[in-house]
Amino acid sequence: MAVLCENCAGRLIFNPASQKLECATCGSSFYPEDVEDKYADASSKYYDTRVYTCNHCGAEIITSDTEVSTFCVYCGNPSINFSRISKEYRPDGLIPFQVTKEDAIRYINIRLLKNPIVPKELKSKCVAENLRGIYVPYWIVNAEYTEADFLTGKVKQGKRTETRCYSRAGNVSFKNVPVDGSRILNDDVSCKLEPFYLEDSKTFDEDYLNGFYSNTSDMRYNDLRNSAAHRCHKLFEEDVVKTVEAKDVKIKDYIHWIDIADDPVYMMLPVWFLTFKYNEKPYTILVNGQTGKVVGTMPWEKKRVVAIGVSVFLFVVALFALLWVSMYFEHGAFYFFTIFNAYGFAGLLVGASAAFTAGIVGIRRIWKNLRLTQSEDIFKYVKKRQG
Amino acid sequence: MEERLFNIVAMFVGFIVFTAAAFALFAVYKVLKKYADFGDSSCKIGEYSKSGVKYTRFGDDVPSSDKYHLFADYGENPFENRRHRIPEVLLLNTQKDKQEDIEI
Repeated sequence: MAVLCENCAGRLIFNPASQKLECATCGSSFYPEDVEDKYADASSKYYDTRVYTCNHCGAEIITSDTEVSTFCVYCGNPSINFSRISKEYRPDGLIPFQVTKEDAIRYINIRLLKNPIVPKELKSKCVAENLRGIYVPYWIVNAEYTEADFLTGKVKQGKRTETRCYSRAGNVSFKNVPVDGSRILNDDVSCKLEPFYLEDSKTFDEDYLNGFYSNTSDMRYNDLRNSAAHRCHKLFEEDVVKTVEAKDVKIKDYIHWIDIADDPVYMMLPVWFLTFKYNEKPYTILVNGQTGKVVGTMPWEKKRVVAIGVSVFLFVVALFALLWVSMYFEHGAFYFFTIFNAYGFAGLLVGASAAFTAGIVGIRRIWKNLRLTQSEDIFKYVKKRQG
Repeated sequence: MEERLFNIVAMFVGFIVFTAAAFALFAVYKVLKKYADFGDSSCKIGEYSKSGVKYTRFGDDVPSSDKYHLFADYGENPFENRRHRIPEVLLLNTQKDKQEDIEI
């Protein structure tokens, strides 16, 4: 439970800027390792927490503090109820918050200022009341990993392009891979928060939690294996695709095996959650509490994005028309076609096709990221429903 | 002659519309990527593995039937007989889930 100031019995809160516990009443400050909680047993496997439950999404929010937000940090709904006092399993370590609340807001605001497509009212939503610091549970695993991939790629043979097959298999020894240990946070979102630098980690001390929320790992060993295998596959995939000398390389099928070494380390890693609603849809933007990396997809004003697309469309059309008209008066109607010739048109067509494909693929990826950011979808994408 | 001219103009207009649409789509993607979508995965394999991938199979331009040989060769779990200590909290979560299943 929350420790109190030994000078005035005021509430102590961990300040990421000074890395000290500070008393809001008398201004005293203490290093967390110097503060002794009379009621806590450091040798115990458990520590005391207060558990709050969101009636809307079912998320459990855990805090050692006596004060809690009136909004759910996951779905943004105001249906938070105190549930129980609970004993939670003591993690092995944690990385204390190093990015302050003000810094986190500043990092998000940097992205919002001079942003031509994000709605202006979002700037008013990026405020301290909507931002919550949460220690997210992670498992740090060492693993042996084997994967066999069957791939295809396109190779140019003279004038025609043919699809070729490739086979790859290999082993990797992974060390200190962070695997998010919460079922609520989606793996694809949590891996974007990386890197976390474990050199800054401390032995777990609940005093670091003062002023923040925390979440405990609710996954089973099989979930951990699956999440770790998924993470390792993503890393392996990037490497294996680079070994194929072809274009449009795709993994058609794969098989993988993982062996997690004994005693993965249970850690709590710091993340700031900015939760807000826009057009009745909830959004959650994350900030790595150690590095300040901002993760998430902001809503955009459709009118402005369409206007940009239409402007580019008209610009390209106008460019062609201008070229044709300028040549028409000097050399006649067909001069444009002769100067450009078949190879010129073919080259432009290939470029346009590549731009079209890249545009479609990229927009689909951003759309997927947007759906992940809309936190009700984060809940839908919970790990137990993955795969 | 007129029909030929019409065909050329139609093809040219189609070509311009497709090219303009493709570049417009690409521009929209680039704008969304820059201003709305934050934080790509930046960790590569080297971050978590000093030795990298040790390839045991490296077949280029293989027949499509090689897929079956590949999965036959690598289809068995090489770590099957290894036993590990499982952290207590993960075991407790498993028990908790089983308890919830029974209650349901």
